[in-house]
Amino acid sequence: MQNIELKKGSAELLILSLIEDQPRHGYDISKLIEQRSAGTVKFRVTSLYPLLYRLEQRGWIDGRWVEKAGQRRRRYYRLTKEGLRVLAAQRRGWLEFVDAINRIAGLENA
Amino acid sequence: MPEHPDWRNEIAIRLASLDLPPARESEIVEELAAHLNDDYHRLLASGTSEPEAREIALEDLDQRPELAETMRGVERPAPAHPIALGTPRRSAAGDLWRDLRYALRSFKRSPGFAALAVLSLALGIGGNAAMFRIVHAALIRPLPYADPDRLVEASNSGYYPPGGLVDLQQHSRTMEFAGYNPGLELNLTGLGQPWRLKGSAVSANLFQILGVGVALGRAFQPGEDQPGRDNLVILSHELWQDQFAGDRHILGRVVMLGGAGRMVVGVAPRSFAFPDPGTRFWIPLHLDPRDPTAYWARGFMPVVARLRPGVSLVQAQREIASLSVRMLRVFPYPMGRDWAAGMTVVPLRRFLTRDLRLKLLVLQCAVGLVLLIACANVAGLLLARTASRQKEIALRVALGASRARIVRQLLTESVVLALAGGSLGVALAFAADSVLRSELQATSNRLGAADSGWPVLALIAGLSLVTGLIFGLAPALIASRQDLAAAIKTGAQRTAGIARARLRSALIVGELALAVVLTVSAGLLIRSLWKLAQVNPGFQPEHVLTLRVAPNESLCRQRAACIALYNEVLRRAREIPGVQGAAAANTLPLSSAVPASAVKVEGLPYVPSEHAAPMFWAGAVTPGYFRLMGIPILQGRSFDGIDGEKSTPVIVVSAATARRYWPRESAIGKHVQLVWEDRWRTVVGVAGDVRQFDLAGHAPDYVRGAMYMPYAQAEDTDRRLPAVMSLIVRTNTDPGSVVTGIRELLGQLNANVPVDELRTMVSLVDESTQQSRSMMWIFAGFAAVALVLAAVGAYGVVSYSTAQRTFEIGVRVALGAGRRSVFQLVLGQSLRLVMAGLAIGLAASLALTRLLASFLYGTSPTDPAILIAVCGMLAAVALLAGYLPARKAAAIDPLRALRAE
Repeated sequence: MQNIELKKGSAELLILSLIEDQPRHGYDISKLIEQRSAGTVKFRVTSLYPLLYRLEQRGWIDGRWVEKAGQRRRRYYRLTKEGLRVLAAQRRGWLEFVDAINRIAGLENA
Repeated sequence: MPEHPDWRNEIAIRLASLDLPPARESEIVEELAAHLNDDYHRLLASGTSEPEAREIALEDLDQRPELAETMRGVERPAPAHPIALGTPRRSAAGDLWRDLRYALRSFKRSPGFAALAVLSLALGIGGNAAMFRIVHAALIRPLPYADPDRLVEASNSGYYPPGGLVDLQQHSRTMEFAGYNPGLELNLTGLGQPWRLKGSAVSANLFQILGVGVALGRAFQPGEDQPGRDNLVILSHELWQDQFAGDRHILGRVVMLGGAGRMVVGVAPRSFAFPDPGTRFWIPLHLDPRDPTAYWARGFMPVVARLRPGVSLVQAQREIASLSVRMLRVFPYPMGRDWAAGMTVVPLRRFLTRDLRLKLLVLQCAVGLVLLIACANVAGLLLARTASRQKEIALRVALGASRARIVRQLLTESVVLALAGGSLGVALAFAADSVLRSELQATSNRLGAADSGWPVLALIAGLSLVTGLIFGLAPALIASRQDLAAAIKTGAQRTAGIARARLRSALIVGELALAVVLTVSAGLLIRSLWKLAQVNPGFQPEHVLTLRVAPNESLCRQRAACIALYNEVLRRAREIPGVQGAAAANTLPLSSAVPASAVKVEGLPYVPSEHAAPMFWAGAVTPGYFRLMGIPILQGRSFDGIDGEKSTPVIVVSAATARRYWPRESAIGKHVQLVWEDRWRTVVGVAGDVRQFDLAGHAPDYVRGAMYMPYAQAEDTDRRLPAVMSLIVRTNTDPGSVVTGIRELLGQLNANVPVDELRTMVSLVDESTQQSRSMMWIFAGFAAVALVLAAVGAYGVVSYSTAQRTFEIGVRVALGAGRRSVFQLVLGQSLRLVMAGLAIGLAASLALTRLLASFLYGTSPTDPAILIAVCGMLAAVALLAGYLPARKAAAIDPLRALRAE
């Protein structure tokens, strides 16, 4: 059973990695997650935005209102330097974790 | 992409319970609405029907946990108070800065108010700071000795002889004792002009007990107060600089002090001034048990002690009492039991400042009252001001400023005023310092050096802040609590508010009451000084010049030599042109000196072991003294040439002494004896009473009488002929014109005799009232400031409230009220305030002026004449303050007054 911390941590990891290359707005982020996980992971408004705001408060991401001609203004989030550092660390942690799980699972199967 | 109309509404409803700041809420709503809208249009594009797409999109918003709940952990609710206009973000520093700028701007708009307030406060704060500077230096600053709290003085009620000191040193388990002779004076000769110097003979351990080192050389070492090893001296820093030019090779040099050679072993540090600042040298005591008279019967001195570790003051007090009683058995002669009865120890600081403490505390309280008056005054001014700013305040409240915000703004203003007043006060304090100091210096030489300004600056800063908060708080609270609608609608004129009116009246009543207390005090001191000036000192001071002639004591070891010297001085002085007569005496009247000797009075039972013998003030005067000083001989005769060294010993007693000891018979022919003598001295005359100690007639209470001995027959407490005498010359011209002649004469007779303390008897009388005069002037100054402040305050409150009532008065006049009744109406208002102020002030005065009793002469602290005079004066001042507004009110034009509304 995955614990809460892990789940929380993984959600953060997902968001941070999605905006690593380019700034994205909330809807964009939620759709990308849904698409790339083929519908397995789905973020709802009620959990996505509080998480975004929290990450912003921590200074890992930075939200800015952007107006494009003919469109309503949207809030785009990009990774801060601090966020970049956190992302790297979380990636490492995740890999180690997955690696450990695999090894345990592998041992049990053998 | 058009937005579905009700996303925002749906989101806002779900966020409502969070109570977010409006700006933040709308931001979130916008972002989430965009999300839902995107989803909605995606669904539409994929062929979902509109209602269904809306349903699905909204479903996303209604997941559990609810939006409000997940947001709550991230977003902060809005502050409880709405934000005042012009303060977009809450930051304490920013608010303060804004408040400050706002305050300064508003003062710029009403400079008269600001100047008056700052000046009032500067007077109050400055006076307090100046006084505190002196109090701090004298009473608070630690004594400049090591661990000064452990030092005690063991001579509160009596002195110990040298043998007693040694006895204490040997037997005390709670304290280590050192003795010092405070009144020693010796001649420094051999350096050109001879100098009479004040010094102290001290036990060898004094420096060690005080924990003070020397600046150069060494302190005395144990045993150096024993005979044969005691011909040493330590110089004060000042003496070293003045007479020896700071010569660093002074150590080991022998100087002539009191006619004997003493080797310089050390120089004291610059700041060292024990027992008092005039001390120029320290020599060891001469503790010689082989000479029982010198060891047990002479040279009684105060002793200072250091508590041993862990010993409390109470333990030390208990021990000194029992040691003193035990010591009675050690005396080689019967010592009065009452000598030991009062022996105790007190903290050294308390002992050193005993004559100063009450006076300084009374003055500090008085100046504290001045500050209170200033505060009340400024509070009154602020109240008036907030009243006229009511509209402005109401507007700010209407625009969303909270009550706390308004109070803070107003408090900032008052603190800014107080700080400005404080800064100006600093300047005043430092200017007043020298004035106060010189006024007080006459009282005591223990004021100590001026402080560095730091404690005072700290006090001023603290005082300013506290006063600013105190006088600003009430007006601010009242101003902030008002009826918005009423204030905006009707303007500033008629919503004065009962609370404000009451507070202003209370402030004025308080101010007047405090002013009454100060004015009564000043009045009492003035009356006391006036009484003092009326005192007949018992002699005629006009045209009398005095100077002190101070040969070494050793000169008088042969009595004949001394007698001959003074005979010759007087004979030749009388030959100087302008001199009418000349005489000599061991002390001058009003000089605060007490040449007291223990006596036996014939017929008075004297049991040595019960009581110490009565002490008489014992004058030694040359023939012609009484006539020269204008002291009347009431009975019998004065001295003349026949009362020589070998003839029958005679004395003249004062009238009070004669009354006291021989109330029903003539004193002539009665006998008095110095306790150590075996011959009786016969009373041959009764002289008029003279204020020997001071003009007010104080004298130490152990002095029970006064007698005069002819110089040739005199003995001082050390059983020697007094060597140091004051020469008294009556001139028929300006006393100053004969000074040169007398100096020359003395120089010719003996070049090694210093001559000093040259002054006229008139100036001596003047000096005797100096203490009362300084107190009087300081209080008069305080009272004047208090009166001005109270008058300004009363004027302000009455004229302000009259202005407030312009409308009402206009109505009255329109309805037929005469000018006269309007005048009375307004004046009546000030009268009520004055009456209340006077009543409270008088009651307070009766309670407080008792503190002044010890500074008064011939004046009761409740002197009715003064109380009445002060009431009259204050009433006059306050009525004057009420008169102007009353006249203005009487002149109100009803038409204009009514139209103005």
